[in-house]
Amino acid sequence: MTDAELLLLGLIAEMPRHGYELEQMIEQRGMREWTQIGFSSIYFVLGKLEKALFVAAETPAGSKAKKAFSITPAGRKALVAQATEALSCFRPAYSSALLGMVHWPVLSREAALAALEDRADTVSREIGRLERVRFERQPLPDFIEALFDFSAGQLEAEKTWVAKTLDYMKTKP
Amino acid sequence: MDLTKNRKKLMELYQPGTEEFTLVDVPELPFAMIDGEGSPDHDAVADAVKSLFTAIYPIRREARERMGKAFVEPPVEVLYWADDMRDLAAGKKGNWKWRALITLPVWADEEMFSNAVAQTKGQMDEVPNTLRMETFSEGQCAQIMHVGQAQDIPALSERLYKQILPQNNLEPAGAYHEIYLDDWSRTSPERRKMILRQPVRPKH
Repeated sequence: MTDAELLLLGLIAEMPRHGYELEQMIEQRGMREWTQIGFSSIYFVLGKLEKALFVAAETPAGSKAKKAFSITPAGRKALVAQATEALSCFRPAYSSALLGMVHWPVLSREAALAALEDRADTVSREIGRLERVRFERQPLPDFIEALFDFSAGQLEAEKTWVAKTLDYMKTKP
Repeated sequence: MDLTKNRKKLMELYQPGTEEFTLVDVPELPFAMIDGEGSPDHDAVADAVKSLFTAIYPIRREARERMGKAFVEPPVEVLYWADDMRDLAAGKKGNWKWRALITLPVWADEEMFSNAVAQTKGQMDEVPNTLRMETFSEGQCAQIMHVGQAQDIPALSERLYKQILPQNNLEPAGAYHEIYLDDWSRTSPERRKMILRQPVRPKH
């Protein structure tokens, strides 16, 4: 199951929803912050979930936007299995910082330091932006707060790393 | 009372049974609140609730940091009353008054609250003029957990006001209170949990 399929299946598991409602939920909850799902792909993904018998359209045939989709018992079982796997399995995400650092010798000292300074600014801005998003979305259930804590923690770790690396590289004779 | 240090009371207040109304003694608790008049349709209350959560965000944030695993998400609570209480029973919503509430940690004080509002008011379209912090105690209350649609509530109210209270020689003594335990955008109507609570006193 793809990330997009798991995401839509989860939203439909909460309660039966129309296609346009799913789009609204994805937008309102800012799910595009951490996963890729285009507006046009919602109906494509719904089609796949329907074909897999994980969701069923409730109302009489019509345009897909008007159908309400609900989860089937098989869909719920798949959702539980996939959510468990997503939570338990560590999936590494490679940062561009690694690709940049490996090429440090290619860059002039000034250019490399300036690039890292830029990264520090970007990370700080991102921390601020995430903080604003968290505030605007209030109230959030505790498990979503934990999701924000995760992203904030990653950013803080990166900020510390950039500061430490900059400090070292600047001091190095 | 610090409910985070008294889990038994916390459960008693916020997880009553679904079978029968039970009597509880509700202690003094601090709340952030906003008042409204007229039909408490979903949008009116939703706006007030959004403002409340915006206003208390700094306190909630501090609570999560200070309290760690002792932090408990406070639910949205709404009091409903009418100048002529018969309008409440008759469902004449135009004459209703309501108050949206969220409990605050016991260590939150007026100063902390006004600082929080000062910090967050830029995010509110308009700071509701009834937005305030107040501490109150409901005392003895009859309450029940209801799981499901709002349309099932009148039958429960009928049972409470026409049977249970008179049988126990009790009468209503304050605003009718609903506590919403679920985020309605994440929970289907038939699974939504809410507590129906009515302060009571012995009937003379």
